[in-house]
Amino acid sequence: MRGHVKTILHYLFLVGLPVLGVWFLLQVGKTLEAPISVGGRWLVTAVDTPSNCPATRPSLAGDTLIISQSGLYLNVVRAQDLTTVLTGRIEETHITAQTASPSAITFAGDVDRLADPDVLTGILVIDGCTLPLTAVRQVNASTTTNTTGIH
Amino acid sequence: MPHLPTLLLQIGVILLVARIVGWIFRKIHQPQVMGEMLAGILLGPSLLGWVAPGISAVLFPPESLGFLNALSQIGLLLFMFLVGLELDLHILRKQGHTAVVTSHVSILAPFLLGTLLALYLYPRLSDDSVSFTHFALFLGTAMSITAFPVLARILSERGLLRTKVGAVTIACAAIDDVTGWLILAAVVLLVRASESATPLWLMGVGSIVYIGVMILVVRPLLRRLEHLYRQRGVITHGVMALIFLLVLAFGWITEWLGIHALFGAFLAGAIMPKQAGFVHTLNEKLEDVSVVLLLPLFFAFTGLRASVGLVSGAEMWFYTAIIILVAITGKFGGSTIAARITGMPWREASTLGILMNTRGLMELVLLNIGLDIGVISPALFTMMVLMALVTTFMTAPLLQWVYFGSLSPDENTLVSTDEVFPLTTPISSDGR
Repeated sequence: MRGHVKTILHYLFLVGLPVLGVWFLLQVGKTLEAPISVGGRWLVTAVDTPSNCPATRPSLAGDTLIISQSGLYLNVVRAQDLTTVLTGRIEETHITAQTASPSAITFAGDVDRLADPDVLTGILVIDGCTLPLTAVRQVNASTTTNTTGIH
Repeated sequence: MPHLPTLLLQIGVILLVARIVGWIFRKIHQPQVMGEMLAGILLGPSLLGWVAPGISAVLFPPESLGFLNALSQIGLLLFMFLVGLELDLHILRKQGHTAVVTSHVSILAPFLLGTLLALYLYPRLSDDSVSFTHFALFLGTAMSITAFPVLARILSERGLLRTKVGAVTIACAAIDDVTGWLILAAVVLLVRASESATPLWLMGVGSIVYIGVMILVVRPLLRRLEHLYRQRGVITHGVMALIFLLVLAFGWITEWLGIHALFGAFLAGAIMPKQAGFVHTLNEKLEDVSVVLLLPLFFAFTGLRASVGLVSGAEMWFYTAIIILVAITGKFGGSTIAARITGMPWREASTLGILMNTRGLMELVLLNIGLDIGVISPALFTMMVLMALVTTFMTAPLLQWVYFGSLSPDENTLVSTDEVFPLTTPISSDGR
């Protein structure tokens, strides 16, 4: 009998308390806000007038940007060039990313969380050539699955 | 099938690398499975894709990975069936309140710390397409898992199965295994229900009814398989075909119910008759194909999804270190303290904690499910894979240091034969 009481007391202390703790933490965590989801494939639908670009520079219209997201951290590639990976992050709704050698390719863009989080406007700079663009997220775009196969 | 030559080449390379790295790990007194897990990582973008991107692109072109994944999933189904087959919860009854309390604490302590860690990681490594509850529950489950097959093998290799600490550990791990998978099933159900037209309660009730029917109706019927085995002394091809059909059907139903096919395979194994000869024979028939041939494909596929390159910069490595620290503190600390409070001496309690901290390939299975359902991000997946590797790798040397390092010959308390876990599968031959 004494052994049973001891077991029950142990159980209440060692098991009951953590269960309550988990419940409490889940309630606390509901108030947290995670970064906006931008992962997936983004189709470039419009390209404004480029500046400082060579005449031979092909247009980006119709290109697809692939964003692989891990919370604040992003990898951005063009579907047409999977080997050039831009790494960056998202702060609120603002995205910045660049290649490992900082000056080669950079990207800065914004999504409008309230109006349309599936539209991305930004500027891609390739070797000093500035390309303003608008991209639309494709349907079924996954936020966390690595769609590129490149990690 | 245009990718057949590529697939055959992939299987050959994976098998070769897995055997070589596994062999090296056995030489340094690690379980072979630890080497095979690492081999998978080495074949992915973390090493091969980094040092030889050309070879990696030829060997693992993205369009061919669907076939590799399908094969690895079949292997995983068979493996989970073997894990379920190995489980015999009757062993728990022999271990008294130490095992009951310790096993539950060894789940809840890391679960609690995992949930606490989620408060920190959610705003950094998740996004708003994942709810905090799903993220936290998954992280808690990932912290709680124990690699029952690896653990059983370590206990067997080190001659610990007949010791008190071995008997309690194996009972705790068995309970952890079942509980861990049930919690994960619930998490998967929650996530999928939030994306499905079918209401959560319907999916939940359906799953409970299904599990009930399997245990109360199908399980007694399966005892006929044992009778057949006793009469004939062999498992015939007809019986094997029936068992394969059951595994596939169970997997299909659980997938359809919104949990995961792997739960069905695990359940199929768990409700199989537990007569030692039957289990052993069945294991022998399945082990070579599932464990030697197909499981390394799963490790390789996991390796292709994980990239250490994603964990870049001091911040990311800091998150990884925190994850590893929390995993060890929760599992090792929780198990050790619970075992100590319930009467085990410190050294044996610590040994139990070290053993329960082994996560091994079961963690990889769980993490792949998490990545598939989108509840964890690719970078977090990689960090958790690293955690699984570290916690598995540290078991053998720590065990040597804490338990055997200070053990005098007359100290190793032996338990009676009926308390010994009947080690049969799926780790019996190769150090898995």
